[in-house]
Amino acid sequence: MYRHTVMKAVRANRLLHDVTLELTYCCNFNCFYCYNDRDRQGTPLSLPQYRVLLEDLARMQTLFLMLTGGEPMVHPHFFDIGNMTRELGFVVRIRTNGHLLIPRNVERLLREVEPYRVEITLHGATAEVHDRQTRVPGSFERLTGNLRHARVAGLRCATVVTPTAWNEHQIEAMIALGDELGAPLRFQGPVGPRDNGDREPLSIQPSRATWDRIEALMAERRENVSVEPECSVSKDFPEADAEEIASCSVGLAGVDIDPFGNVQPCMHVREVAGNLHQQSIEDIWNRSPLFAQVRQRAVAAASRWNGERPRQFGSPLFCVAIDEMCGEEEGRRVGP
Amino acid sequence: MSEPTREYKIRLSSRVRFRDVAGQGVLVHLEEGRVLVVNDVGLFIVQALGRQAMTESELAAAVAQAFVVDAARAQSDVALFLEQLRGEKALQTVGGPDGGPAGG
Repeated sequence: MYRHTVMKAVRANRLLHDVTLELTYCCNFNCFYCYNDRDRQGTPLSLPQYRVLLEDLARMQTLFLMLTGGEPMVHPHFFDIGNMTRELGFVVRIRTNGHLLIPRNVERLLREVEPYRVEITLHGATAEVHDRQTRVPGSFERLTGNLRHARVAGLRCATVVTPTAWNEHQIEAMIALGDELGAPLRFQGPVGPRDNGDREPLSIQPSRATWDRIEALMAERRENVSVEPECSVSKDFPEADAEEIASCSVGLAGVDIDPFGNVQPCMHVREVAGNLHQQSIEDIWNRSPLFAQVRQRAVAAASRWNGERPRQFGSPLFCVAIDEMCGEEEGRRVGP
Repeated sequence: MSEPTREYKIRLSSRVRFRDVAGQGVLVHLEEGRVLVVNDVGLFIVQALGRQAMTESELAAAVAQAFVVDAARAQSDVALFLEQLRGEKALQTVGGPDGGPAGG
């Protein structure tokens, strides 16, 4: 219903349906496979600039926002921005590592931000595996404690896992942990290179057999476990599927905005359509040709599968940025 | 004689977010996690209830005027739609006809 009515109208009218706000690249973790380039420079958007941006988006009828990072909760104005999103009537997801979801912050989230859902990255089902990836000792114990409290407090939470060679032996255990914590699990992937071109994270890509196992589990459990590209809007917002079998929805109805005001087609395609220090979001969305160009590139790349399901690094997912960065060495090799 | 409950003022639940997306109303319930899509008349009602608390009769009158339909038809359609919204936990009552207690 949503896809055939609302999304059709969104695309026909070229509306900006969903926006990802990367509030900061700062993070209190040091995850091994993190793609963010922490050395990226720029002038961060100020609080008044976020106010203007959010008011523009509300006027443009954007409904869905995701606050992410880095770790969004370390942004000095995280709660101020969250409060604005509530006042302006957005449906907000927050993607966090959960380290700052302490009781006081959970209370503030519920009162000041009222998020639709908080998505927490889970790296493993035990401290040994989780903390190995976050490279922060104690992060697993703190996360599980925080999640237990958040559930009791009434915060809607979900967990997100990127399968890796380090956690692939705990897939079932992580699903069970998500269930136990009241935070249903979703898989995302594949692991990609860092935004600065560093390919070190690719060294912990899981096996194709792991992805097959995840797919089988997903089918068994249906809606309780899902596999999605990292950048997609959640299946709870049922517009996630693009019309092309092998393509993500890049360039169609959403944008990513980095901490410095750069507006990009998505969090992985780091090409700038415009900057909010110079232009409004409305100008950028309506005038930049980049979104249509990236869309064409995604569709062209996906067409190589000739209608078959794409796989990148063994995962049943497709990301045009990974295809363009790694296609020659891996992404395209696994195509037809 | 009309049912007393009909004159309770209602408004959109604070747990519901909505937007006019190209003429269709998209409602998301933050707690239930459900998405509801409504047509232009539904959107008109949702927008009205998002602005202020109204009784069902006031809503029906506003719909009849805005969409140029007779009062009985508007009353019936509004009642049906409000039932649907109640089923989705998208409404809250703000007080009785005598200014009585608010309800969910």
